[in-house]
Amino acid sequence: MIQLKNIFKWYNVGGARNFVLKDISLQIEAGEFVSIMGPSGSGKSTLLHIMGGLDDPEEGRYFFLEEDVYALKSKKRNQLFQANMGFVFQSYHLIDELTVYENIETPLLYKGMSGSERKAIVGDLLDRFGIVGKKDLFPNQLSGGQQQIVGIARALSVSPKLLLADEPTGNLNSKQGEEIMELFRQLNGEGTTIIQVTHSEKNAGYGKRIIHLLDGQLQKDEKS
Amino acid sequence: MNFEFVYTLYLYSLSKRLNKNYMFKNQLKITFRHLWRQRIFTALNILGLAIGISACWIIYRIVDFEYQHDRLIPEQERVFQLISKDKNDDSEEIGGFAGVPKPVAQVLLNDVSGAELVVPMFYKRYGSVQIAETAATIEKNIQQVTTLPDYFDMLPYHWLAGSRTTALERPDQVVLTDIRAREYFPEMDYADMIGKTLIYDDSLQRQVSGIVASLDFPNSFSTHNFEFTRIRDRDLHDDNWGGMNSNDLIFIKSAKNTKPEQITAQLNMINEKFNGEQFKQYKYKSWFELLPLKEKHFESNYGVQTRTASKNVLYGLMLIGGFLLILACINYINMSTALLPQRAREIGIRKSMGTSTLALIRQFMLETLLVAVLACGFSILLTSMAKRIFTDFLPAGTFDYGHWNQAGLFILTLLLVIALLSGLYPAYLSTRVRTVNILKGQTSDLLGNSRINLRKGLIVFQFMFAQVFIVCAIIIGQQLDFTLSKDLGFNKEAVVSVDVPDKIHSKSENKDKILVLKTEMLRNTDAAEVALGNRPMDNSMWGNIFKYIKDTTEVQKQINMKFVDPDFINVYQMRLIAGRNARPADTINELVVNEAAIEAFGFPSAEAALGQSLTSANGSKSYPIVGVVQDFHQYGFQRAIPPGVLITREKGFQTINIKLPEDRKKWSSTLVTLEKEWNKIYPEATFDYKFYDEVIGTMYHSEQQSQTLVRAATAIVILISCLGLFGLATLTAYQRTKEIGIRKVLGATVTGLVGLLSKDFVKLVLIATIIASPIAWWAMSKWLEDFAYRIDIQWWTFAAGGLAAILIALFTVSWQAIRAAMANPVDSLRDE
Repeated sequence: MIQLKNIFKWYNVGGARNFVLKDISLQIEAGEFVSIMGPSGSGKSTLLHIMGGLDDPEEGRYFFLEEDVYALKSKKRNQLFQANMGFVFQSYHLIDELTVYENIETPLLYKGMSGSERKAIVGDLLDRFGIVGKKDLFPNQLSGGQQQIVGIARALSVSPKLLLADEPTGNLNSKQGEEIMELFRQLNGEGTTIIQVTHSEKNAGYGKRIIHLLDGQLQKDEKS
Repeated sequence: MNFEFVYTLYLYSLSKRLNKNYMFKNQLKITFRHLWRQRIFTALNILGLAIGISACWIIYRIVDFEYQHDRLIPEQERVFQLISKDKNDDSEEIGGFAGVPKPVAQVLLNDVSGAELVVPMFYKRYGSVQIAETAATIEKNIQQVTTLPDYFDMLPYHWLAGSRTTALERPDQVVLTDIRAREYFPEMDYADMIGKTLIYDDSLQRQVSGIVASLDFPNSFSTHNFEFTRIRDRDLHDDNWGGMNSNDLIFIKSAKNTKPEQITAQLNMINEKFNGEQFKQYKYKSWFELLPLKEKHFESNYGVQTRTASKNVLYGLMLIGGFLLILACINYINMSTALLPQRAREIGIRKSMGTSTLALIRQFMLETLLVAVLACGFSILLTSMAKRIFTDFLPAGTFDYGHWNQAGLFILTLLLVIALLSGLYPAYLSTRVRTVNILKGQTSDLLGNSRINLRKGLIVFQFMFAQVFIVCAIIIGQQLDFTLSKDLGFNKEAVVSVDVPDKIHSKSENKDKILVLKTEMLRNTDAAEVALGNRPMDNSMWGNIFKYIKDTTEVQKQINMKFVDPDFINVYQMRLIAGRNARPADTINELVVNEAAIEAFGFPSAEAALGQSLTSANGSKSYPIVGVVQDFHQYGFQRAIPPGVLITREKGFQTINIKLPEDRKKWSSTLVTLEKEWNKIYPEATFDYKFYDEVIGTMYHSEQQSQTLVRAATAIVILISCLGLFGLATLTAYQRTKEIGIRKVLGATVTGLVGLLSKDFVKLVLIATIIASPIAWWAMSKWLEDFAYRIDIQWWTFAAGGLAAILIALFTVSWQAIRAAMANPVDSLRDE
């Protein structure tokens, strides 16, 4: 599903190159549940952003669903990512001015879906995550765990093949974190590929594969 | 108390002072750095405030200049102008006039007590002056004040040569102001000018007996009075109470502890004695009042021989100045609060280190004051530019007159007001920054929604102004277009006209030379038509009363008369709708009237009027109506078309009207040949032709001035509002960075995001439009009331104004919106 070849990412700081990612090559198959681990500043998030198309590397090639991503025109590329990926963030990143329902609906609006289709999909998701009763609340009326569930529901609304999560439990207490992780495992079981960045060994353990990064380089790649 | 203790105390206080000093320097440095880092905003702030300050400064100077008029005349409160009032018995209206009958002067001098000084100022005019010594002749309109030496006691003139006691003793003396003296004797010392002879109109000899310096403060006297001679005995002993003339003015300085009413009471009693009979016979009454000098400058009714100012205009200006200042301050508030989230970190850190609230406020006020001072400096440039652009609007001498102490005080006050108005709110907000949140790195929560709403309110307020001005500018433009392009009842295009100067016209040897000129022009140039006579629409006018008597009823009307020759209606392409053109005659013979006259006299139709006769006011003569022309305008569009009559005669013309050939390319050569013919007939006068359409344009001078003023105000208000909007857009873009990032990740397009961001602003501008429209409509309806012929206010002007405002707003906002929409969401969504 994902193939990275010799990915380099650096910043120029006063003439010297400051490497964030150094020669990363990686292959991830459909159906995997990958955890990326590593200390702060090891480049985990950057790697995730590159895989999500939010950021571009300085060098290297990226194949997503057999497509050479950087050879595509930007419009085509956006379409490819949009149709197949969902994002989950550490601080949820819900839109404060929109209700739970509207937040989940937003990606579908951008996809240009009709009203009845949207209603059906959002209804399904609310039902599935047990938040029907909260659909008219605003994000600040929810607990952190509930907000993250809404975030996940929103990410899943476009039925992505791949779910990217940047420290999804970072702002949650351990019980809430466990719930989210259980949810992830369940989703993975249903066929969604998941890549998550995490600090916690325990959370990483939910995945089937753990990639360790250190100073922008691949250090270890263990599959269970 | 030992010495050491005192010394320690001294050191302590010194260190404290040094510390304070250092703190201040530190603060100043930070302020400068901050302003520099945000230089775009600083520049916008300075620009906005500078515009406000410049407007206030110029308006202040105008207002101060006008209000300072006559204030420096000693014991001004005791100086009055004598004015005449009258009233018909059957009407409530009281008429007022600046001129007084000549005999009043001697009555005041001899029979009335309570006046310390009586200063008659009877004006005389001459057409030329010869300087006897050099025999050089200066041709110009010269106005002399004939008065008494008391004039120089009433006003604080400084004598450069000669003296007050001897200068106006004899009738053959003349006192000059330094300006006039320089004109006549460019190189001479003032003392040497005494005794020199001036010959007015080739006959009247006067000897220079004194030179006075022009008054160096704004006043009602020095702009028109440059030469003074002693009042003629003949004028002083005149006994004609019947006539009043705006050339005959009288000023009075009352004695101490004398009320003006005491003087007028005596005068009016004498007036009653002389004229009571007349009052009864003609059923009217006239009396005198004293106009305090303090008010003279604002009384246009009595402002002959001097310029007056309108208090309403001054109030309007002050209002505009105040509004511009408020708008500028609103801007500053908008921009600096917009920047607050970005400074929140600095503020939070300061607070955590123990800065007092007061110090924080001081820092903000200091910043505001600094920006205001910089803006003040920049406004020096702006005002000098504005002074050049608006020369026509500024009363002459506005900026020459010092009064600097007050002006300096004004600027200081202005700076303080700006600093307070625009600094306090941002300063207050800064103290409300939640330190904990800041240090946690959360800035989005810094300014709640209510504060955004306040800012939105301010923007709506600004755009409401902009909108009102835009609509006013459109409507004034439409009305002016209308007045200049609407059918006037005659064709003003391609017509030039020339007046023969009075001086030449009045000489008997030039009598009716103009008839020869007309013939020669027609024969030797390719002018299409030439006609003699008064222009159809002009600032000067002759009127007379005519009567129409039918059976027992009598209709009496005032009619404007145009004395013309038969070709007149061809040159101006006036349309005869009934009858025929009149045949020329020596005296008034046949009449061609306009439709308004037909209506005024009550004829059922134009045809019905043909062959009827109008009678002169005293009934001695009657004239048949032989033709009717379509209505034609005689005044500007401010007034309804009055009844008018074309009186065709053979001679006595002073104006020549020439229709140029149709082909515009020929005009310049035609004008050259016309000039040649003119010079043959009138070698001593220049061919001072004017295109008639331009002459008509100048008749709307004050409307065009309003237009320029409103356009300038529109531009300024739009500019200021855009600065404010830009500030708000920046803030919103900043505050919505996260949301924009999320939406982008979720698949929003850049265009979609720009739309999302701009939509809110368009809403604000729409609200402003809705509020502004009725205000603009009201203001313009009032303005249009001055025109008898006016456009209807169209609904689309408001739509167009709104659209213009929206486009301007979009343009302003788009930069920030596009920047925000283009930003990489990775940066805004980072979780650190």
